[in-house]
Amino acid sequence: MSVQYQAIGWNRQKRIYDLLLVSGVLLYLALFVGVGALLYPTATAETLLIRGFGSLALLLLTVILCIGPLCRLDTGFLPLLYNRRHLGVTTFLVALVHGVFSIVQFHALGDVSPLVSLFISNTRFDSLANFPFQALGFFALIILFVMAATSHDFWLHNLSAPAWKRIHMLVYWAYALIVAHVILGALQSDTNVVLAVFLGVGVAGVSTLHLLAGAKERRTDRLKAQSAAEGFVQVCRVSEIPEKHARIVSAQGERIAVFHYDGKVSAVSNVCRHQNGPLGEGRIVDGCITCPWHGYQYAPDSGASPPPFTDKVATFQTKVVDGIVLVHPCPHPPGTRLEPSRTAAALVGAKA
Amino acid sequence: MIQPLRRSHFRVWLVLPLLLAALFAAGLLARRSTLLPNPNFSWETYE
Repeated sequence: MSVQYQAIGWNRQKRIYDLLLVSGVLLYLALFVGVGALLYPTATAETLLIRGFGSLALLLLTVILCIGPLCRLDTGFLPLLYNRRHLGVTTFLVALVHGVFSIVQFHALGDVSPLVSLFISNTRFDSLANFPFQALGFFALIILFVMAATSHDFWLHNLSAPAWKRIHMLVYWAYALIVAHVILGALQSDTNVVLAVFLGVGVAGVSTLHLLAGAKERRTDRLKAQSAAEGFVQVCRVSEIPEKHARIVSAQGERIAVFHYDGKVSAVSNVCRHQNGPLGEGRIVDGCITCPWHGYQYAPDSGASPPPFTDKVATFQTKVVDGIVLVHPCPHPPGTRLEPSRTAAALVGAKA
Repeated sequence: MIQPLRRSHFRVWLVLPLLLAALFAAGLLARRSTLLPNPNFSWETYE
């Protein structure tokens, strides 16, 4: 154990996030219990609280499971990843209250231990309608506990990222156990269709998002592998090249300046024809790459100087795959016009 | 480094939607009758 424990690095955003989260949790519970008491006047407070905490835990887990694939489908959702671990720990705490209330309510009054009673009071494993669903929720709670207990960066660093991620991928099985717990439990005895509709929509939504995100990543991986086989080399993400500036990359003995401008990407030789100045350290002025040494200019797509000048530099084929810039290190003859690659932002703009 | 994780993630989500959809359908089919034998009787009030 070489990593020292450090307390959570609280900041204003995290405090606001947690305040909103706790407020949302309390508001949901108040609404659930209030509306539930009106609709079902014979229901006890314990029953309403057990149902309220249980449904909230499922709702929070559904939201958590949607965040990952949404971010992989569209980077605009990335801010939702912020503080997701606090959302996860909150889910565990809410599920824990549901579990403890349920065990006390249904198993604490017998002459055997409540935990033993949980597993032996119903053994009808052969019946879907009367399945011992509470055990499924218990196992899900164990997984959520392990995840909440290891959610701190201390464990991430000590366990290593791959091992930590493997543990936290257990959340999918916890979700499956919780869905089974609800299907075989509350869904069997609930007298209205609201629960069935919400559960069906939630499961379908989470599944669809994960399948879409997975399909998108496989398509991107295939395109990258195909580009690598064609000889393209990876430069960086488009967002890492400031507008009208370049990233210089060295490949197969060539120094290449890859420019990002007006939603497009083009690559030319990094060497100015005038005195070998570094074009990639210059920027695009009036639509032309401008050498930082003496102001010689070249069109980014063709490498040719604007008339009446006749200087030309070599151009290189580029590609943009899932926001990543790729360049082929084989130079085209100086002055050869190559169609610039469009960035995702430019493509969205063109469609609109 | 993350490729094996992404692969197992993809496989999990090939299995889970089928599993959960089948369980959901089976759960709905196996649902007990929601009609109370005696609507005026409440177990909670009785207790």
